[in-house]
Amino acid sequence: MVDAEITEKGHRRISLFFTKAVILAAFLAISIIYSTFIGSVNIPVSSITAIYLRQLPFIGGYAASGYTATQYEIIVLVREPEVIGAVMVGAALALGGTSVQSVFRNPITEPYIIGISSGATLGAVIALSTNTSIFGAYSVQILAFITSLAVVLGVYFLSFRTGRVPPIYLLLTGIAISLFISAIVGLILFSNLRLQNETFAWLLGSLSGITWQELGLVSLLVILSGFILSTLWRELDALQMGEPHARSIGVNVERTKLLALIITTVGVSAAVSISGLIGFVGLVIPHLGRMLFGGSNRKVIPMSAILGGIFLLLSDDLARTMVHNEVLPVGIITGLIGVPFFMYMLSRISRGSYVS
Amino acid sequence: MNQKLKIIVAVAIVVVVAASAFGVNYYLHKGKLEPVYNMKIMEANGTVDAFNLSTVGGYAYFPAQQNNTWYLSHPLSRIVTLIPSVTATLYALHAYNDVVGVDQYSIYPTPGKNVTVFDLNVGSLPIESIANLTPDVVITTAGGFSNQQINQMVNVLHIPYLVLDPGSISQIENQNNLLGLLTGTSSNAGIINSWMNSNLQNLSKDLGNISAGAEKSVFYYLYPASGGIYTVGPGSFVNQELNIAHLKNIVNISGYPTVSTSYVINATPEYVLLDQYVNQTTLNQSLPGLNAVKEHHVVAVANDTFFTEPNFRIIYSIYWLAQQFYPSNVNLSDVSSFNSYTHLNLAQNPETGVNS
Repeated sequence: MVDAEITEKGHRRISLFFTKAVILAAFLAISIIYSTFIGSVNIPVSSITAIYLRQLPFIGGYAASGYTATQYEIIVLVREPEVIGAVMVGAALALGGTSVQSVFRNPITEPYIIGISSGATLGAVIALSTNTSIFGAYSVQILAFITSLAVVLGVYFLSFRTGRVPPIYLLLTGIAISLFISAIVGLILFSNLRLQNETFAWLLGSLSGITWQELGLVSLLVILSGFILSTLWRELDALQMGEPHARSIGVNVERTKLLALIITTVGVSAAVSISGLIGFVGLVIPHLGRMLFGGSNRKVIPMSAILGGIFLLLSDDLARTMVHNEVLPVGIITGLIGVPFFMYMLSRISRGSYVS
Repeated sequence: MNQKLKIIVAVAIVVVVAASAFGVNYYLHKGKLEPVYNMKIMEANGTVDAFNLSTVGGYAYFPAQQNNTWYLSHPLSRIVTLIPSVTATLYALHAYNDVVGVDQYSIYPTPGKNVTVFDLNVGSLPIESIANLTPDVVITTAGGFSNQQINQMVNVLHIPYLVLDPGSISQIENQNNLLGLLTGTSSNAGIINSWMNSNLQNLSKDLGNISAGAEKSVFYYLYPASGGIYTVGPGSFVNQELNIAHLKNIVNISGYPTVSTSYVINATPEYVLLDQYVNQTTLNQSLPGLNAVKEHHVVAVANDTFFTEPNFRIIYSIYWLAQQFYPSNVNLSDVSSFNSYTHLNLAQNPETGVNS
């Protein structure tokens, strides 16, 4: 009798989870379609629909016309990569936040805290100041990616203490190294006034200018990192309970931490390399995921990715439409929305209605 | 192999694999964003003119160029200009009908009804709106926008991107010639250059009796910057304006440097040339100990667009400067009338506003 009740409760919970997941996925799909319909240029719905039909495999060639070549270019080459880019970057940041918060057992950490943002900024500024074309048109992005990885690795190895990497050391080293690199970036910028505009745009974060070419590889890295992190949910859950607990149930703590941080860094660095620094997604979205789906990373990791995608996509829609004929940096919008939400969440924590 | 070494090797492999993936992607797609300095322009009569863009302090990003050369077989007829100096020059050349979009600072001439005005943000191009105008070229200045957006514009949307940044009077005249070639108005460019040279020669005669020792020393206060004052130095066309007006710039750091207050005080300028966006209070607070400030030897620039926009209208700013400092030698009204000299009959007088 009791077993039957437990099984029924379990089924109900699973069914509720799937219902929520399907609703979220549907909302994401609708958001993607909606986002391609809005922009600074007014394109009739019929034309956008025709452009969509035109892109369908096999039957696209038979689709009706009713759009201009310029409208086709704006939708396919400008809006679509930006929209998919927003989903990928949002997902990567949210995944990174979920992973880092579990590793550090700290609700106010985000992926940038381990040096990803400062490393990427350093790479971008070096590429801009030296005007290098070592990686062609994508030199800024690729150098940002590489230096980001290098800085996180540096932080990790500097935090090594007798074969272990205590989270507190990792956290403090990450902050210290980030400040050190910020000083170097400041020095480079101070000596070259012209760089300040471009770097300013980078620091505020922007999804404008993303191309299919760079998006292909970044999407692959983000999806792969999301998949690998999803397979680590048990270990991350155990780490959330504390390292002694994780060890007691057979988790290789150091290996799990290193793997989670590497995978997080690869995914987030790839995303940041094309978007610049977009704040608050990695901090806030994992908490939203936990509020909606409970504490286990089994559900929180995939759902945070979807929530992050939706959040950044809608923020980008606001950035593109808030001021006529202008595109605001999306980092400003995420900050404006993220901070009030974070304060609300803190008040929930203080009332005990939400435990991270 | 010990544990630490294993970790280092594993991490190095991840970094190499990820960086290689980016590199392979680049080499597969051959994405390039290399500046092009050579242009070959075919005029209506079939004559081919070669033009080196470095003679205007510029370069171009052009899709699918051959032998590092941009071939142009017809005059441009849909131009987006995001530099006020170029907008004014195109107007003077009688090529303003070819302008389809301008930035918000292009206020001479007043934009027509068919011209889209873009409100530019720092570092961000309104790509979608620009693409919607299907321009033949986007003309702008160096270092203003993100490489990612420029790449999208050039390599994805195939819109040529021309950077013009003249740093001297001769480069301004070359800019007139280039824009004349691009718009099929070369003869007008020659007339404008003739007007400029004629006025410069007259001014040289008027100021001929001022010996090098009698030249007044000035400091151009552009605006307060972090760590000092933003100003002009040798190598900038503003510095050349000062020299032509027989003024000695106390700054000997090239370009547009930021100098400390002690640097200015130590150089003891006789006069401070105050930009229109800096008020007397700011000057008093920045340089309280400077003799020129104490003695009220301050000349306020009425309209700095004449000083800081490199085009034919700097003739008015040079005469205005000479009139301020050597009133017995020069008067602004000595500038020969643009319309009478050139017969270009501009409806909006290019001189309007130099005094206010």
